[in-house]
Amino acid sequence: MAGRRVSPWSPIWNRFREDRLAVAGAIFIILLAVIALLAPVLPIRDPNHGYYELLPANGSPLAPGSGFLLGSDPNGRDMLSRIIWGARISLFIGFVANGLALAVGVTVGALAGYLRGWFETILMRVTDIMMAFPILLFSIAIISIVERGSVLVIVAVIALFYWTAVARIVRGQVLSLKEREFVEAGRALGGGPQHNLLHHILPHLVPIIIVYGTIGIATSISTESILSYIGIGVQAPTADWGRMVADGQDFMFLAPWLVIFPGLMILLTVLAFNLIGDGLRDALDPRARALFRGVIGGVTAGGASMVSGQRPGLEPAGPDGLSGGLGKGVEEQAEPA
Amino acid sequence: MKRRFSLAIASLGVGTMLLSACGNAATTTEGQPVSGGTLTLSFKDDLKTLDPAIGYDTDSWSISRAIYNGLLAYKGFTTQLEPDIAAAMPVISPDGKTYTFKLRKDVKFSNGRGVTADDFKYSWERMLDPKTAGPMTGGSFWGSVHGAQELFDGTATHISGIKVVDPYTLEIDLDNPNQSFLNILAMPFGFVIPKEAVAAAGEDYAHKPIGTGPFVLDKWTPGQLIVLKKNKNYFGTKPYLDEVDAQIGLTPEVGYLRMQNNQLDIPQPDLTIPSAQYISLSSNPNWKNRILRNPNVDIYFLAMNVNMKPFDNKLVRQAFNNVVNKANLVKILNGRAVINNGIQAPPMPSYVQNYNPLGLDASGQNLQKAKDLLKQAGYDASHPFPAQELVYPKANADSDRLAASVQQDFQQVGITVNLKGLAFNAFLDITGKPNTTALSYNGWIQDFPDPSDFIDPILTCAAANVTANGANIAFYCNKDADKLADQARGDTNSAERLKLYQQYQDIVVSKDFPWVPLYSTVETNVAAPRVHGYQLHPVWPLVLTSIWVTGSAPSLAPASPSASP
Repeated sequence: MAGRRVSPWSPIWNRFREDRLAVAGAIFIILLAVIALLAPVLPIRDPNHGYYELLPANGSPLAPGSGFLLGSDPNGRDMLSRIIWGARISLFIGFVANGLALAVGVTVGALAGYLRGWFETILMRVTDIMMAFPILLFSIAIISIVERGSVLVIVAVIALFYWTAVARIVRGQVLSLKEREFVEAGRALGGGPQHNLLHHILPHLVPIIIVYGTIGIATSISTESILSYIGIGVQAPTADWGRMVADGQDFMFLAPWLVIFPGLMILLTVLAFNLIGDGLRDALDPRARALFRGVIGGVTAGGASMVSGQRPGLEPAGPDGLSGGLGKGVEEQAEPA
Repeated sequence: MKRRFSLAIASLGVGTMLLSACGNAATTTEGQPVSGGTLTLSFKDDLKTLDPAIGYDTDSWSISRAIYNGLLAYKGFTTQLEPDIAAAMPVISPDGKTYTFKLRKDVKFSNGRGVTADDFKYSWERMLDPKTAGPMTGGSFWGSVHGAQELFDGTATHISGIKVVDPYTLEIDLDNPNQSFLNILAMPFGFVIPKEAVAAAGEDYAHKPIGTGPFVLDKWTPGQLIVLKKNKNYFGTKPYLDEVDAQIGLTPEVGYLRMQNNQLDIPQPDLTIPSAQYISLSSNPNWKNRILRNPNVDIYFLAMNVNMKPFDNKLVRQAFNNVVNKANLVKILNGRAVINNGIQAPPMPSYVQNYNPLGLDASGQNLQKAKDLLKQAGYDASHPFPAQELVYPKANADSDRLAASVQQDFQQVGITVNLKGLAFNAFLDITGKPNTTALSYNGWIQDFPDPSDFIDPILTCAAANVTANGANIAFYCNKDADKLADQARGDTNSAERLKLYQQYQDIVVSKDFPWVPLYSTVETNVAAPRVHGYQLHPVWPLVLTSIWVTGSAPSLAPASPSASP
C-alpha cells in the first residue's frame, strides 16, 4: 500500500472550510463555548448580584462603559456577566435538548423505517400527532403542570417536540437505505435487524444526524429563549438571554442595551449554528453516496458528486425557531430513492 | 404590586387627621376652566364591573366614582367628609350608635327619577345580600350595622338597623359605636342605585349602571372602549368635560408612549407610572413638571405566616426583620417611596417619624443580628435554613425587580429564596387561605384614611380566623393586641386613640414580628398638556370633575390586533 494516508474526513473539512460563513459561525460558537465554560473562573462580576449602591438615586440602569462594559440592568447587575452566564444556559439546553431529540428521533425513525408494519404505523402516527400540537401552547401546559423554571424540564419539553422532525427524516432515509444492495447483502448473509441497523444503516445516517443536530441546536436555543421570554423558562435570578430581553423590554427606549445585547446574542448564536449546519450540509451532501461510501468505508472519495453544487431541499429553521422547515424538505428528498 | 383594598371597621374623627399631603400635590391647573371636550383614558384590562356593590378594585372605582353618589363624599381633594346626597352631616345619638340622615330632595337618577331613602335601603340590602355575591357579603365594613348579620345568614330579608323614617329621612342603627362608619358610608359600597335599573338589566347590571353622578355610562364595548357622557340630571356642579373615553387593552408602557405622542390624555390613571416611564418622563424637561405626586396611604411588607414552619418560630421572624435592604427597594422604585419600619403609613397621624424600634441601619438591615438570631433559632452550617418560596403579585417588570432584590438580601445570610410571581387574582387566592403561603410580598392601600384600616382587616384575630379570601396574610393573632384595637375603635378621644394605635404598632413590630415592614409609596401620575385641573385624590384613584381640556381630543387608535374586531 503505497501513498499518503488521508483521513476520510479531510475532504469534508476541505469543503467546509471553503464556506467562509460556516467557518465564521464555527469560530463564534467555539469562542462562545470556551467563554461559557470558563465563566466561573473568568474575572467577571457575580451575574446575579445587584450592585444597587452604584445605581443613581432614581434607579436608572448604568449605561455601557461606566465600570460595566455592557452596562447594568435596573437591579444593578452586570450585563456582561449575565450574558456570559446566559451562554452556559443556552448552550447547555441547546446541546442537551437537541441531543435527546436526536437520540429519540433516530431510534424511532430507524426502527419505524426498518421494521415497517404495525410498528411503523404506531410510531409514525404518534409522530404525526406530536407534530400537530402547537408547540408553545403545549409547552405552557406542560410547564405549568410540572416544576416551573427547572432547566431539566425545559430540556425535556424541547426534546419532546423536536424528536419528531428527526424521526421523520431518519425514517425516510432508512426506507431508501434498506433497499440498497449492501443492506440486502447483510440480510442475505444472515444479519438480523439489529446487526443491519447498527452496522450498515446507521453509519449512513451519520451525516444527516450531524447536519440536523447542528441546525436543531439553533432551533432548541431559540425555543428556550422564547419560553424564558414568556416567563415559563429559566426563572429569576438565573441569567438567561430570553429572560433578559423580557426583563429589559420596559426599558427599551431608555436603556436599549438591556434588550439589544441579549437579543443580539440569541440572534448570533442561532445564526451561527444555522450557518454551520448549512456548511456541513453542503460538505456532507447527503445525496453524494459516493462520498458517503468513501467516508464510511475509509476510502478517499472521488469528488465529482461533491461539487455538484446542487443544494438539497433542506431548509434551516424558521426565524421564529418554531416553524422551521426541518421536516418538509427532507421528506421530499428521501422519497425519490 | 397592585393595590389591595381592605375591609375595615372603626375610625378617628377624620377632621383631626387631615392629610397635608393632598394639599401639596401639584395640579395641572392653569388658566380659566372651559367646558366641553373629551378626555381620553386607558386601562390595561377591561373593568370587572360598574356595579358598586361588587367593584372592589381601583379600575372600577376610577369610573364608578363618576357615575354614582353616596350620602357623604370627600370635600374636594381632602379627606374631610361633607354631605353629598345627604342634606347635612348626620345627627349621631349620644351613645354613638344611631345615625340620622336627612336627604336632599333635588337628587335624581340619570333616568330622571328622584332619589329617596328607600333607594338607599334597597341599595345597601342588595349590596349585603349574599345573592349579589359582592365582596361585602362576608360582613366586614357593614358588620356593625344592626341586623346585617341576619341578612348574611339568610334569616332576614331586610336589615332591621336601616330604617326609612320618611322618604327623605334615613336612620341607621349600629350594634357598637364605630368611629369610621361615616368613611364606610362614603365608599362605593354605600352608593345608591335604582331598583328598576337592576330589574331591567337582569344579570347584567354590572354593564348597565344607572346612578346619580356627574357622568353616565353611554357605551361599553367589552374589551375595547368605555364612553361616559355628562349627566344632564346631575344635582351638583356640572363637570367641565362633555365626554370621557376610556380605551381598554393598552398596557401602561404603550399608554405612556401614546400620551407623549398626543394620542392619549391619561394612561392607566389608577396606577403609579411604571419605573422606566417615570425615569424618562422625569428627566424630560417637557414632562418633568407635569408629574403629579401624592404620598399614598399604603404599606408594603413581607408577611410571614405565623402558623407555618419555619415562621412559627418567633426568632426566625425576628431574624427576617433584620435582613431586607429597604433602601435598594426604594431605589428600584426610583425613590418614589420611603422606608417604613412600622405598620402605619406616613400620611397617617398615627405614623411615627423615624420609627425604628429594632435599631436597624439606614437601609433597614442588621445582617449580623440576623445571623445571630438564626443561630439562636437553631440554624447553622449543619442545620441550614430551609429554602423558602417568596410569593409575590406580578403587576409589571418592577415587581420582579423588587422580588429579586429581596432574594439577594436573603442570600447574604445564607437563605435561599425562590421567587414565585403570580397574577394578582391567583396571588390573592393562595395568600388568603390558611396554611398555604409561608412567605409573601404584600401591599395594602387604604380604603379610607384611618389607622384602623391598617389593623382591623389585616392583623387582628378575627381577620386571621377565615377559611379563604383572608387579608391577614400572616394569620397573626395576639389577643392582648386585639384588646388595644377594640379599645381604639370606639375611642372618641383622638389623642388617646392615636396612642393606643402606637402601642399596638410597638407590639407588632418589636414583639411579635408577623411582618417585615418595607416601605410606603408615593403615587405619581401624569396627563397630556391639553389636560388641566387634574389632581390626585388621597382616597379616590381618579376624580374627573375637576378636569377640563383644551384643543381637540386625540382619536383613539385600536389598542391591539386582538382588541379590534
